[in-house]
Amino acid sequence: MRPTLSEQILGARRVLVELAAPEVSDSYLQEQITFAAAALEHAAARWPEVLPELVTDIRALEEVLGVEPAELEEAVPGVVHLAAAEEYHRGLRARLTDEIMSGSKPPPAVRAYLADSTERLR
Amino acid sequence: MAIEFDNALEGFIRRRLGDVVGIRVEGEARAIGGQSRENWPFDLFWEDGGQSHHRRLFLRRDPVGSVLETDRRVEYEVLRRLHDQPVRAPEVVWLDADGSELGRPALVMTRYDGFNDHFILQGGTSRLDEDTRVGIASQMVDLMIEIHALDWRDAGLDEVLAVPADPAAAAIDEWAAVIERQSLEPQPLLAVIEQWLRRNRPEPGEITVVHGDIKPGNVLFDGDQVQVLLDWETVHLGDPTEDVGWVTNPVRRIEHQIPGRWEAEDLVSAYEARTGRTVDRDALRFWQVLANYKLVAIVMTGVRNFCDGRTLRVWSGAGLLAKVLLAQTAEELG
Repeated sequence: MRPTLSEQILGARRVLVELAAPEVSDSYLQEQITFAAAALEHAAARWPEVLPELVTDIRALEEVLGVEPAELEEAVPGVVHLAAAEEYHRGLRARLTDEIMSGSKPPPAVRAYLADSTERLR
Repeated sequence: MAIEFDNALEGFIRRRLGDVVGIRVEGEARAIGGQSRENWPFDLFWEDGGQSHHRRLFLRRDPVGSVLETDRRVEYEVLRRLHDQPVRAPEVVWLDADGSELGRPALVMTRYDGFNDHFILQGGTSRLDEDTRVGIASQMVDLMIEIHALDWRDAGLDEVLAVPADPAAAAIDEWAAVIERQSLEPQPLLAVIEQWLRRNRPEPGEITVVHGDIKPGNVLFDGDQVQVLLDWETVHLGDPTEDVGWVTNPVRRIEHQIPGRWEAEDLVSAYEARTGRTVDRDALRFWQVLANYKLVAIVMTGVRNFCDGRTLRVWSGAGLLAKVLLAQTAEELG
């Protein structure tokens, strides 16, 4: 559907950059507009990747924790409810955090997962 | 809003100057720079006993969503005690410790001539030649040595700063608590780093004043001279290697080093030669990891402030720090 969410976000960024910024002389306000415009640009580029990357991270966490993969798909195969997936993901991360804090040196698989996860979830 | 602040500032000044007339504040405007404090340079004029007076001042006020949870009273008391000490610290003038007068905690200090240039060693805005920049880098080491050489007992700093029995353990506890308090989600990676820090922490040794955030961005320069170190909000007593680790942190290379001319090992060698101390390289690595653990805590505080609506700035950068921390802790020390 057009405009896509990315296009709408970039449209909001144009309002800031093309309309608001030229009217602002205060350097503090200019700096804040620059930060906001950069954030919108980042959001527009990244949001379509968020859900698939979240599912990938969930599967990786399940593997490192040795738990059975959960059923994430709802009525439409391949479509995942974002809020539910985030909540489940948070639970897995909390469980891994607890395991690390209660153990001694973490096994290589945990560090490998963390390295991969850091790359994926920027 | 601006008028309210102007009135509050004038009232704050009037209560401190007492029975004087013609108080006038000029030039006050929020200055760019400083992620954790609002900076307001201003000129103060007044008349007293037929004499005209003028002071150039600088007000630093806590913002609504600060990324550092530090106490203005501690900073004020430290700077007051450092005024007659051989260290380039600013003169503090007044304090609003609880923000009851200026809206939020604030301190007023003398404003100095000079310029600020975060990336002066890389050229920055000053565009000094390379030899001059190497000279400035060397002066930054002298500045650090001045701080570490302070007789903190004689200066009475132990009246306002805790004396840690184990500086490394205290630092881990402090920043782990910030992460625990500020984090919006579970952080398995930081759990791994915290455990690494606890396993690899150096034994307690000499206790000195530690500045905690030495960098060109916190300095005022006069030409090619380091004039004064402005920001003392993270000052504490601890292990001097902490500051050496902070300025040799690979993530902050661009601020502290000049490729091929002044790199981390040059900095450490200069520090060792001028102080007679030997910097234990394992301890140095520990403090470099701690530096990034601390930076992650600061970024997380910024993220929470943004998500809670206390600040406008969108914070990012934790991903890069996470990668660096994993690489830095790939092996155990010793």
